[in-house]
Amino acid sequence: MAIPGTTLILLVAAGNWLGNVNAGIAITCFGIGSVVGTVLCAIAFKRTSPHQVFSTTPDYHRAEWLRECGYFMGSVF
Amino acid sequence: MSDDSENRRSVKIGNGNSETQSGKALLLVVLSVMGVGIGYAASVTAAQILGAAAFENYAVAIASLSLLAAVAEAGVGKYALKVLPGYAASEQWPLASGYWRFSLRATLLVSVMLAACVAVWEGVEDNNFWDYPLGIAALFLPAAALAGVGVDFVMANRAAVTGH
Repeated sequence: MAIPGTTLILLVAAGNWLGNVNAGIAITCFGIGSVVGTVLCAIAFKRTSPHQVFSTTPDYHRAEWLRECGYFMGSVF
Repeated sequence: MSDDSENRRSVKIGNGNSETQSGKALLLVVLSVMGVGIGYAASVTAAQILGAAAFENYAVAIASLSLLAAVAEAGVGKYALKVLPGYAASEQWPLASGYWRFSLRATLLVSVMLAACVAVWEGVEDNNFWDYPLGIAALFLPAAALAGVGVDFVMANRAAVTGH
């Protein structure tokens, strides 16, 4: 909801203040909405995760993760 | 007598939790509908402000950005839905710590590479930056991809279900 909400607010604001809004400005509004969405997700993830997720020394299973992520990406399409 | 009161207390607590879960589920449905409505309102507003020709460019760029963001996520968000609850349940915190770092780097790497490919393909030829909507959309590809991954990570923490 953050991305379309921010896009809507910025589009209305740009329409009122700039007058002539082109496609590039509208896409920038959507992009800023994405940035806001990313920040909100990062805050939510930090707040909902146990503190050990951020305080312990990370361990990596890169080969397994890459393989599994490939399967999951394939399943998306 | 003591057992009866204990049972009644258990039932009461159970119903309270059930009502709380139902309330949260209802809130999620309302928020989802609101999100769709706001998205629709944003599209209508963009069409009114931009006009037919510019809205076409906007719609194509946003659709391309959404598609490329799904590719740039590289499956790390969807896999997080499976793997993070398991790490949390077995208290494998180093792996949980490593996975979100791995996901962040992988998403940034893939999205920046895709954005660079789009920028080259778009081929900015003059100085008017605003004439290249797809190039502008590509600038926000890392943010769009990270937002998608971020939603999956929050869902992997069951925050959408438990509300905290």
